Amino acid sequence: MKCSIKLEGVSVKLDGRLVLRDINLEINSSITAIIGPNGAGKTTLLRVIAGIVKPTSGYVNVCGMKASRASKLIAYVPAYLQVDPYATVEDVIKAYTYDIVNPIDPIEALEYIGYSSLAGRRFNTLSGGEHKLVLLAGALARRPRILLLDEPYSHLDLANQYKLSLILRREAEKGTIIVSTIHEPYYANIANNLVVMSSGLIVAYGAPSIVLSRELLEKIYGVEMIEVLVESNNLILPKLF
Amino acid sequence: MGFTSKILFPIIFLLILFILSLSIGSYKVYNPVELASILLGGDSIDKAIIHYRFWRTISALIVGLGLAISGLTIQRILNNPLADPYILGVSSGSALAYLIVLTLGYNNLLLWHVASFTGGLATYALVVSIATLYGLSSLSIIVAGVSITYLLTGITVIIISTLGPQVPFALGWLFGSVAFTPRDIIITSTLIVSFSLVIIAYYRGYLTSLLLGEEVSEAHGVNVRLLRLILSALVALIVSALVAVSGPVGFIGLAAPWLSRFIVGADFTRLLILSAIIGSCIGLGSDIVVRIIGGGVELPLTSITSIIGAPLLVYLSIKSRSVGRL
Repeated sequence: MKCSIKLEGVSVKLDGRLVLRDINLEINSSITAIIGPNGAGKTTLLRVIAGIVKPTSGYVNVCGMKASRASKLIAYVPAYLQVDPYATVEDVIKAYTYDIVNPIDPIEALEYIGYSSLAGRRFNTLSGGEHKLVLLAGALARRPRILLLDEPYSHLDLANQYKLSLILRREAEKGTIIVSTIHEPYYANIANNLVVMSSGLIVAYGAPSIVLSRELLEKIYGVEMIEVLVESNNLILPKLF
Repeated sequence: MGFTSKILFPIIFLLILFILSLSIGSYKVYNPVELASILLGGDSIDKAIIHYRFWRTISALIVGLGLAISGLTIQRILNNPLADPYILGVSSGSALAYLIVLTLGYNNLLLWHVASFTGGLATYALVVSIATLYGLSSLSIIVAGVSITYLLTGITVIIISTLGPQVPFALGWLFGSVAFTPRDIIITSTLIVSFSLVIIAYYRGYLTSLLLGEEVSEAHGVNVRLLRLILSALVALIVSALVAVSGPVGFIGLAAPWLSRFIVGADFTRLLILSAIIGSCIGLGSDIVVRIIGGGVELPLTSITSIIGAPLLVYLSIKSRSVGRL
């Protein structure tokens, strides 16, 4: 069965503030990146798809069912996670697969992302980047149809950012729908589709090569940007000096 | 080392404690050969002693087991490794309600349990509400719990002071004792704790997922609010049953899960099994120690469990702070 994620007229109010405003979105493609400034509603949009946050109005459909009923198809990786100080890496990965009939074994999941060396370590003794990788291993151990990632590139060094991009590409080729918030516009190029958000609204949507422009990023982030052509890739970066 | 090997030593230790508990007491100490011959048909006085010690052993064991599994459960649902039914005031709330009903002269086992359960649950709700007022952190819930525990213990002591000749006995009960628990209470409470253990085991999948926190668990299909509600009520039920057996006993709910974590990590199913065994060991071991060091006087159980638990709480607070959990 082909999966898709559909949001129709979704609005979310949290503590009296409208965080998402009338979102209409259909995600069929393999990798969708959500970008936008802090407070734009990126994480809330991801949480709505995950069924963590219920829309104040509107409708969310994940693979033909309500988001809350699609939990076995979903794997969610938060931006940050604090666990029991005595939890091992294997405990964390096993906790990810509690409801899955045929999950990937924790050690295999670590091997799959190229980090079998982390087996047996206490989760809280790992670096921020290693935390991200273990959570990704846990999420993949669920064999998800839909992988939801909140800021997966934060805390990762360059080598691991590269590795993560390869892993995401590999999963996408296997048919997994990946939706990820990102803060780094240059990683938007790994996505097939880009959702640009500002103040709870989707202000642009489409292929990154079409959607991403200096003017758009300057408008939503409110900083001056520059365009750099690197090996036929057009990178847009903040102008620092 | 596999899980089976890791639980083997605690199981053997529990069996040894069980035999010691039958053998040791202020009146008479039996060696294993004497114990075996009495069990196979000794004289009536010795049999009566062993019979008394058997029910006392069951009481201590069930108190340790029940507090351990309720401590573990409350720690997981609150995502707080410092939580414990005694520190959070659940035991004090149960004890106060139990004492009020008893003092009013109601001589009904069901009513005692209902009052004790309601008192424990209401106190737990009050502590969580107060802690939420200044951010539901690991530390705020402990501060709220300790404050309410002191308040309720103060009221309990005032009520006890009106009991006349029963004051020494009641004060002993207030700090935990399994020396004189009626058998019907032991049986009822054992059934309640066993039932609760089955329910907690039934929810082990959700509790495993909760290691990843509320957000990830909800995304993976756990109704966290409903689970917290059900299991909070279950913890209050266990504690109320145990208060009827022994009065409030401190720190087993903290110490047993912590020692288990140290041995097997944070997998909930493994923790549940090992905490139950270690909790039983602490309950039974503490009761044996109070019989030995009291010199004919029954010391309260909390006098022993506090010596283990209070330094542990300090250590855990420091350790938790070092990993940014407070």
